[in-house]
Amino acid sequence: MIKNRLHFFLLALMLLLLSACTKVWHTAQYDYTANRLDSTAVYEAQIQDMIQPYKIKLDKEMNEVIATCPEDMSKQGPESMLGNWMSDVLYDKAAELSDVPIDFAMQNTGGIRIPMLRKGDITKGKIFELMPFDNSLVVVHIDKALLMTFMERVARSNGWPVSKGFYMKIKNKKVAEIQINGEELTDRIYNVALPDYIANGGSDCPFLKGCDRTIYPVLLRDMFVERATRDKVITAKKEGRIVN
Amino acid sequence: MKRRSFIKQGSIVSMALATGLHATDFYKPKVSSLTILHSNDVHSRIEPFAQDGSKYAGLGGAAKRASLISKIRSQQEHVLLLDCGDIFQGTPYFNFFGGELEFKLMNEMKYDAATIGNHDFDAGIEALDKQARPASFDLINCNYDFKDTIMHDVVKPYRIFQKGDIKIGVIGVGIALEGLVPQTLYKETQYHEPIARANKYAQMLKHDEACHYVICLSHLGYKYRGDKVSDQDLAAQTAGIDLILGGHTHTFLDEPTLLSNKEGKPVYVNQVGWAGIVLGQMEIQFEKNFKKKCVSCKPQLIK
Repeated sequence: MIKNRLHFFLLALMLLLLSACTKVWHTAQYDYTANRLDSTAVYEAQIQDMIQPYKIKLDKEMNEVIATCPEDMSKQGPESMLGNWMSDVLYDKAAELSDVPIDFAMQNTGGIRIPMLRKGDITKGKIFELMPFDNSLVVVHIDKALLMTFMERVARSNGWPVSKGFYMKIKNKKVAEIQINGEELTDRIYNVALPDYIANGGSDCPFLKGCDRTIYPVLLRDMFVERATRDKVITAKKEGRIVN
Repeated sequence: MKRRSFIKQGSIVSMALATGLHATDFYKPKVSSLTILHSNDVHSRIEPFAQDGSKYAGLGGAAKRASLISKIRSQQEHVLLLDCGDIFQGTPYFNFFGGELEFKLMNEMKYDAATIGNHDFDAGIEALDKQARPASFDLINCNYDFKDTIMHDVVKPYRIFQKGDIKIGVIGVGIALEGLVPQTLYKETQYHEPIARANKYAQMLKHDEACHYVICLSHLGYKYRGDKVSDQDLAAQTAGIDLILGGHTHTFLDEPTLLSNKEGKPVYVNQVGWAGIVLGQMEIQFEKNFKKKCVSCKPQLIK
């Protein structure tokens, strides 16, 4: 009995010593470098060679001049030349494809990815910079109440790019007056052309998510390329579509 | 180039112990080092930004990143190369070639793993699958459920890497897709709350798999004013993660942020902006020693 106890004691002691001797891996030191890849960095030839065939194909496509722009076109709101041109292209395409008459077309200012289209030759690559996202066309069919919710949202951002025939006055980031083709809003269904991003609730428009809609599988970017190629000139007028 | 040395706060005790015992130190402890290289939100920036006088003119570019990686690999034995998502979208290379070149270049640079960003679904889950399936590195995510999608056998919740003596567990988490990505693109991918999932896998890797170091690749975002889950929340509400490498918010940090996890243990959070402008490089030294002893543990931030 005593012998057993001694055995147990020895065993426990051994285990204790063993565990005290166990070594672990400590995380001892950190050293951090943020390597900025500036113009002094070296290029790896093998990678350059891999990029080259893609670059040649891309440059050929992208460097093609498709139109000219006679004057600088900013996207700066509430109303802008660039926003007007893009919204009119959206409107015309929707009007061409839709069975119902389109009331107006709108898009978010943030969806225009360059601050300005500069005067001069416009390449296809520039249109890609303007609209890199694969956004497509949606026509939403909304009643007056939902349209007003939408327009109050737009007024909070001091207006978004909109197509011809639309007039909105914004006062203190709230809608003061709206006319569509010279008419006040009435209790009817409005057909509004939008990028799918907005129609799906993007840019703080969750109220549009479930609404009645027609989806067109045509990319906004392709519409802009098509129109610029056809007209050879990209231009627009500011005519007081949105004022504040 | 910014260089910072620092050490977890919890080691001050070990340092004091080590100093006290220094005279009786008759052996040299075993050490091991690990280099972690990381990128995030490269956004198809294959070539450097154009030299047009803009903010990032001339910066970034895959060929420059690759040559730096090669140089570091020639100097360091144990290197892990990781990416935190949004590999896709941002230049016509993506619109034209559907992400093919992005993945080819990452294969060539020998990336070990990447997590998935919201923009990686931009050409549809099929397009991501097409590039990810033959890739030589794994896509890692533990809070998207891909079981009803084409990617069900492609994405792994975690991976274990052995680098010398050090066993490293890597997990990945992604952002809520609803409202951010059209459902027509991510299809039947199910999003789960990332913190519980990350915690579960980090615990498993630290304890069951006995990993010495656990890294979480995150595309949640560094920090938010609202209640959106960020890397700050991930760090504070989990245990077992040593380092969170992040993305999504395009945050440039001078150095990793040191935070406490839910057990009060140190966890670092880092992110390297976007577009491949910066390659993050974390050098970690490990020391094998008794639980309460560490000779090389550094107690403070050294600039």
